[in-house]
Amino acid sequence: MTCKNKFIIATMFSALMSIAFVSRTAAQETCTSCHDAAAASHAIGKHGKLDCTKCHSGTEAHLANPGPDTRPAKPDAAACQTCHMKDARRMNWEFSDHSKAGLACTECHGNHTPKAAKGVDAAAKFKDSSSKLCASCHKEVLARFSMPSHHPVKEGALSCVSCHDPHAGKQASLAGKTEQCTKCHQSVRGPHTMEHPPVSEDCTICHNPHGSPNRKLLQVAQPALCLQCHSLTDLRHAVTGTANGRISGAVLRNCTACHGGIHGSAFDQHLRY
Amino acid sequence: MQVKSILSLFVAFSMLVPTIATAAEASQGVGGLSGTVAPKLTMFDYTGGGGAARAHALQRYNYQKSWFGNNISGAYLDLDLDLAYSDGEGTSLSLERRGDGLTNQAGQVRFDTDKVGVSGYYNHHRTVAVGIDYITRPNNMPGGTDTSYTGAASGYVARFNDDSNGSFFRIDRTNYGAGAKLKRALLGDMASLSVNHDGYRRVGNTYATYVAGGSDFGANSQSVRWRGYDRPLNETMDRGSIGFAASPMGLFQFAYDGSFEKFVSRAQNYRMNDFAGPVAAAGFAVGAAAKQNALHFIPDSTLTAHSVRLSKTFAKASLAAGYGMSVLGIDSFTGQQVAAAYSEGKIASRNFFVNGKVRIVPSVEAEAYLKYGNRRNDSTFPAGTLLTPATNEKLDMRLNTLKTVEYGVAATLRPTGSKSSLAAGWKRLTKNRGFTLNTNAAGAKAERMLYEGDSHTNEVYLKGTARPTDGVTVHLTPSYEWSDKVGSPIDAKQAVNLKADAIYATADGKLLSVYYGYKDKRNGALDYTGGTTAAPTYSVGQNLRSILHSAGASLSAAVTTKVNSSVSLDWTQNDFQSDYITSDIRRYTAAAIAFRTRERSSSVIDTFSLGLATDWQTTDALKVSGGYTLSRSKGNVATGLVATELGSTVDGAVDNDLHSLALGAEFAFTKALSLAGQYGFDHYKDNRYASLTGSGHTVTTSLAYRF
Repeated sequence: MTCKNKFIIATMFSALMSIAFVSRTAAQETCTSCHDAAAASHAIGKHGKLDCTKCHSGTEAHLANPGPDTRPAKPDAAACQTCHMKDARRMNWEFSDHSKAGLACTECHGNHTPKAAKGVDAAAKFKDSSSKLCASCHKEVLARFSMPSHHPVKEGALSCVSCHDPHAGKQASLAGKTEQCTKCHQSVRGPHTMEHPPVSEDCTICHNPHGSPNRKLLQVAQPALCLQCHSLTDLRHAVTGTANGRISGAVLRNCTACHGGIHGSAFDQHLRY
Repeated sequence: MQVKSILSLFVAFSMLVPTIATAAEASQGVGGLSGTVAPKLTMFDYTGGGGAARAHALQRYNYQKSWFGNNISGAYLDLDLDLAYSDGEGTSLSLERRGDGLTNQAGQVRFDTDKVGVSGYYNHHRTVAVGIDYITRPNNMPGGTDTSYTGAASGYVARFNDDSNGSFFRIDRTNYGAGAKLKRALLGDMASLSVNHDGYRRVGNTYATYVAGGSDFGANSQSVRWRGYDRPLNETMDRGSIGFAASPMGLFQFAYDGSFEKFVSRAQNYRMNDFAGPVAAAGFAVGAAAKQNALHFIPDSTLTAHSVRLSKTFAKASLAAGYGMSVLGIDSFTGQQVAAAYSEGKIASRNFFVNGKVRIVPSVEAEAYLKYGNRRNDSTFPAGTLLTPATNEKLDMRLNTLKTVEYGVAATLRPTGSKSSLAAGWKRLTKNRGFTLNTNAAGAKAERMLYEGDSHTNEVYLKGTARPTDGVTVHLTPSYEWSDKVGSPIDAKQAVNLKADAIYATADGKLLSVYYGYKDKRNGALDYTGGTTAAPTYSVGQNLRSILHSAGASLSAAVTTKVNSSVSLDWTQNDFQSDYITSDIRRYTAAAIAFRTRERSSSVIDTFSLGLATDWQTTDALKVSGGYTLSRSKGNVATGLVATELGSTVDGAVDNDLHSLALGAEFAFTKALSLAGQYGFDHYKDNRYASLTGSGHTVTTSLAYRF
C-alpha cells in the first residue's frame, strides 16, 4: 500500500470517528430514578440512549401506580422489530424458523447487556458465548459435537453462527448447502473438470457437519456410504480380478484411499487423484 | 519511516483528538472503562495416543504447543482480555482476546456509535486430524494391504506404497476480517452501508493418496500403483463485500449484498512424474503419457456474487422476496487442461425466493413460499481428449444443470392470548438434473448407474408448540415424506420423521429438558440393469433403509443457594442398511454386464455422552467446580461378508470412548482480583485403533484482574 493510500484511509477513518461522536439524545430519567440496576446496565449497553418506553409497553399504568402488579411488559419480537426490521440481517425474521417457533428476541438477546446462557451442561463448554446460547436449546446438535469427528466449535475454531443465521430461515436463503460449506472450504469447490454429482448437489449427502462417530464427518462409514450409490466391479476390486471373486478388507475399508479425488478431479474420471 | 507516513499518522491522530477528549469527558459519567485482564499459564503432558510428535489423538482438534516447541509435554503463557469502554451515551469500544496457546487463539475489536461501527477479528486454530489418517494408512494397518495380493496379475492394486518424507501433518487456519458500517442514524434514518473484508490463510501438510491407471506405470504394475505422499497446503482466501440496506420512506425494506472473492492455492501441485524415482526403484517407469497427470490439483478460483432482497410488513401480512446470482470461475489450469483447450471452468448460479404470510383471523396465519435454484455448468465442454462424451472413460456423466424448485403452504393456529401454536403444512421439492452421458458404445451407461434426471419429493408436517403452564414448553414435529419420482439413492421414497422436546424452567433457575428424534428413511426405487443396452436382461435393485434415533435429557439446578449442578445424557443411534452389489465387469464396456447382490449389510453405531458438572461457592471468596464427560461410540461398520473382510483390518467396527475430568477452583482476593486454577484429565481409548489410546493432563492457572 502506498503512503498516499495510507494517508487517505487514515483521514477517512479519522473523519468517521469524529462524525460518530456528534450529538446525542438524553435518556428518559423517570424510570431510572427507581430502577438503578437497569440504569446502570442501560448505560453500557447498545440501547443506552433509548427511551424505556420505546421497548417496554404499558409504562403509563406503571407510572400512575408503580408496583409489580403494573409491571410493564417485556419487549416481544414486534417491539424489537420496530427498529431492527430495517437491519439487512433481520429483515426476513418473520419467515425464520425461530420466529415460527414463537421465540422472542429476548430469549437469545439481553436488551441491556449480553445474555448469558442458562442451564448449560458440562457437554456445552464452548469457547464462544453465542454457541453456548444455541446449545441451551439445540441439545440434539450439542450431542453431536461430542462425537469423535466433529467441527471444532467447542474448541473455538468457529461458532454456530459461522454457518447458521438465526434471524433467517431456509425459505428465505439465497445460498444452497454446498455454497454455504464452500464459503470456508474453497479448496474442494473447483469447479472441477470431472465432478462427483453429490458434491455438486449437497455436501450433507455424505457429511454431517455437526459431528459423527465416523471419520471425516461421514454420515455413514465407508464402504457403506459409497456402496449405496455404487456397485463394485469384480474386475477391478476383487483380489483375483475375476467375476464374483473375493473383495478383501484392504479395498473395502476405505474407498477414498484409492479414489482420493472424491470431491472432483482435473483429469481422472474415476476420481483417483 | 517516511515523511508522508509520519504526516498521515499525525493528521489521523489530530483528527481523533476531539473524539478522545469527548469520550474521556463522558467516561466520567455513567460509562467508563471496564473489563478483565487474565494472564494464564498452562502446563500439559500427554502419553500414548498416536504418533507422538506427529499427532496425538487428543490433540486432533485441540493442539497444544509448548513455548519450547514440544507438543507432548510443556508449558505456555497466554492472556485473555475482555475490555469495554463506553461513554454512557451509546458509544462503545470493546476488545476481546481468547488465548489458548500459539495454535488456538481468537480476538475481536469493535467500535460502535449510533452512527458508525468498525470491527475486526481474527481466529487461529490448528488441527492434526490428517496425522491420524497417516497413522492409519493402509501399509501401517493390519489388513490394510491384503497379503493375498501377490503382485503381478493380482487384482488391480496389490499393495500400498508410502512416499511420505516424514512431514508433520497439521493444518493451521487463520481467519481474519475487518469491516465498517455507516448506520442509519448517519444516513437520515433511511439507509445503512457496510463494507467488509474477510479472509483466511490455510497452511500445513496433509497426506494424499492415489491410484495410477492400468498403463501409467507399465504392465503388471499392481504392486506400485497405489501410493501416498505428503501434500503441502498453502491457501489464501480474500473476500471483499459491500452491503446496502434501506427503508425508503419506511415503505419497505431493501437490501443489496455484493462480494468478490479470490481463492489462491500456492502449494506445489504434484504430478505423477514427481514420483518417478520410487516407481523406478521398484522396477517400473512412469509412462510418457502419465508424467503430466496432475495429482489432486487445486485450482485458484474467483467467486462474484450479488443479491437483492425486499421485504414488507403490513398490519396483517408480510412479504419477502430475494434474488441472487453468483459466478464461480477457475483461474489456474493444469498442463493437460491447457493442452485440451479447457480454458474455462465456470459455474453460474441463480436463486430466488418469495415468501408470503397473512393473518386470516386473529388466531390463524397462513403462509406460502417458493424457492428456486439453478446451478449451471458453463465450463468448456467438450475439451479435446480430456473431456469428451465420444471417448470411453473420458466422461461418465456431466451435470450441466441442476434446477431445484421448492414450494409449500402452511397454516398456523395460535389462539389469541396463548403462547401455544399448531402449524400444519405441505411442501414439495423437485430437482431436475440436466446431464450429458457418454455416447461411446463402450461408455458408461445410464442403466448401470443409480442416478436419474428428476427427483420429486413431498412432505406433510405438523409443528406443535405448547406452553401449558409457566416455564413448560413442548415441541412436537411429526412429518411424512414420500417421493413420486426418485432420482438418487439419497432420496426418500418414503420417510417418517419425528422430533419432540420438552423444557421445564423454573423461576429459581432449574432447567429440565428432554428430547427425542426419529427418522426412518427408505428407498428401494432404483435398479441396475444387467445385459446390454440393446438387450437388457434383469434388474438388481438397491434397497436402502436408514433409521436414526436420538434422545437425551438434561437437568441443571441450584441444589442449594451456593451449589449449582447439571447432568445430561444423550444417545444417538444410526442404523443404516443397504445391499452390497457387485458387477462382473466394469460399466465401461459394450459387453453384457451382470449385477449381483452379494448380501444385505447393515451398520449400526451407537453414541452415548454423559455430562456431569457442579460448582460450589464454598465461601464468599472461594468457588470450586468439577465436571466429568464421557463420550462413547460403539458399533459395527458392516455385517456379513463385508464385516468378515473388514474384520481383518481395524475398520470393521467403531469402538472408542473419551473421558474428560475437570476440577477447578477460583479464589477472589478482592472483587477485582482473583486467582483460578483448573486441572483437566482426558483419556481417549480406542479399542480398534489401539495406537491412538492415550491420556493428557492439563493444568491452567490464571490471574484475573477486573475493573
